[in-house]
Amino acid sequence: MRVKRSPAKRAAEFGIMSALAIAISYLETLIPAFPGMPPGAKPGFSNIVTMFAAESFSVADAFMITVFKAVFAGVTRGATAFFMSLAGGLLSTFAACLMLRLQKIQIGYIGIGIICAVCHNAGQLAVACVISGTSALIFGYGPILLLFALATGFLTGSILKLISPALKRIKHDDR
Amino acid sequence: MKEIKLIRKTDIIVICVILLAAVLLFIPGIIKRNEKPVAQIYVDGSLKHEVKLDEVTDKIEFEENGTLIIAENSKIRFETSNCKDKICVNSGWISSPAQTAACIPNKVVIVISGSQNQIDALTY
Amino acid sequence: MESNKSKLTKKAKIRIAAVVCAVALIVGIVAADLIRSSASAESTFVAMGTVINLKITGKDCKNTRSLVQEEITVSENDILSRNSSASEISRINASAGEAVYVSKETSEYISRSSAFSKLTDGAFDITVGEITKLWDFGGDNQRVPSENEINSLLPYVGYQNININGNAVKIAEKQSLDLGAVGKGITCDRVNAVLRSTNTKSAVISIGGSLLLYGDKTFTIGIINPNDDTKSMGTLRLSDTCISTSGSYEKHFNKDGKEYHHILDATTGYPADSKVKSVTVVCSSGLDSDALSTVCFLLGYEKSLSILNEYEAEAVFIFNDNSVRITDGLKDSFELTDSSFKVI
Repeated sequence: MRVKRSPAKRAAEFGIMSALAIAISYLETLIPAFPGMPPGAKPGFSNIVTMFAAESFSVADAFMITVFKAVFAGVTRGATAFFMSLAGGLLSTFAACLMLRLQKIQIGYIGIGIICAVCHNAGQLAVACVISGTSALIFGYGPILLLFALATGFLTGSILKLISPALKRIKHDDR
Repeated sequence: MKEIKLIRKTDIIVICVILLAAVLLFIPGIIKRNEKPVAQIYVDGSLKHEVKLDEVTDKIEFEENGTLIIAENSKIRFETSNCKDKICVNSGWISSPAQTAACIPNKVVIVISGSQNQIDALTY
Repeated sequence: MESNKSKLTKKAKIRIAAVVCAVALIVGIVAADLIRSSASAESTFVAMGTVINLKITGKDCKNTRSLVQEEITVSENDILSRNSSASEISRINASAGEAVYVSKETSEYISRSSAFSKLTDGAFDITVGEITKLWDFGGDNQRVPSENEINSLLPYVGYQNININGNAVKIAEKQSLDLGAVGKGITCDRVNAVLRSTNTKSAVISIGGSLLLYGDKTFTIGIINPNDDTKSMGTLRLSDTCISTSGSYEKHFNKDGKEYHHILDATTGYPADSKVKSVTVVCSSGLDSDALSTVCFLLGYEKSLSILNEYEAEAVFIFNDNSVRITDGLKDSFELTDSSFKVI
């Protein structure tokens, strides 16, 4: 079923997706912290792009976008941000691919969104624990991050469902 | 190719499981809520300071790895930090057990634990 | 094709919504119950001539707190107080020489307290109050009374002259009862009974340093450092019991180079000298632990052991040379935190 793509088109699509993911994740850093929000946590709207890429393009593309995003975070915000972004991104992309490829799991966008968000936060938390060497962070941040992921995953999953037709046009326009 | 729905039964199970996990993870915090708060400052992964928060009234300052931590009026916070993201500073004041503030780039973490070693009452 | 199969019927949607609501409801109720039962109420106030501190955890803890405060007021004003003329002790004292009918509890408190007098051959005596007044420890007129003054009052000290017949209590003329040595413990016992009628999960009640630990929770209790009463010298990990401490550091003064403390030997009318600085007693009954802490202070270590045994009580003795002795039952739960003391 997968549409065979020319290398040029593939590069262009990949570029658009990467740019989108990076732009979204950058814009998120501008959101001011509001009360009740776990410090440092982001809605993770860029997960929308990687989830879409994993669904509509290839797993490899999705992982590449994740790595690009992490490199961008590393360049602009330092090594810690790189590792956090990479760990969170890879884990959530992996989860998304798994969900999409396992045909037997009858899961909807919201479920995928939530699982991605949880994996993303779990990856970041794990890296935070490793870097700081303080495992006590798990109980400090864990529960609130889990609830936060539930909300953001619900949101990103719903948004993906909503804009998926529009995004797909990038892919199908020239047909 | 399989069309993905917005929501299915599995999604609901996922939501329930995560909700349950979050509640379970919250339990230690709720249980510790009544214990006396002790702020533990970890630097490079090792415990460097312990501050009995309920005994803190006057300002105490700690400078660790480019961060400035202050404790005052039973609360503690990252006042300044030389890191880029300032997540630690934006965490604001924390004061009750199971709350956390961390500056991951500088490897400084403040965890508030409920102390078991602290005295509940004095006999005299 | 697959999408058709997975399309939810209206009925299924309702069912799913119902399941979600039910799970959310259960999670919510469990969480709310958890939060409610871990709610705690604290309070610090002055009553019974001392500082009282309450920490109560459990459902309806605020309501429980007012019940406890009420009980403490009752215990003071209606039973123990020597100042309030309406209290049962005051009524007995006012009618010295005549039988006074009091509540069953009060007559029991008095008979249980006098039992300790027998065990100490009169060194512990709840009729020593008039001599205590002479010394006025901690008061405006604290002084060393003359030998004559003390000797003139000694004949009126004597637990043997307390006559208890059912609910009727009679003391000899010129005698007066002072439950000061057991009053805090009695109040702990009364508060304990109140807590049992509530949904309290755990509580720690301090009535001027005499403690009631309620519930399964293990509390860490500091034992005051008799050399510096702003610090503790060690801790005990205990649950569901009463703790009381008596020591020479509490009320004392120095006259002509000699130290005088407030724990009087009722047979002599002078401060007891038993080489002990302080004794902390742990016992399931508040009255017993309060009385025993004084008894152990009066008798010293060796003579106290059999009495502690009889009451199934445990104790920590701190001696004048800063050595510490702990009875076997407390050895595991005690931790020394001040190295200027030595456990022997």
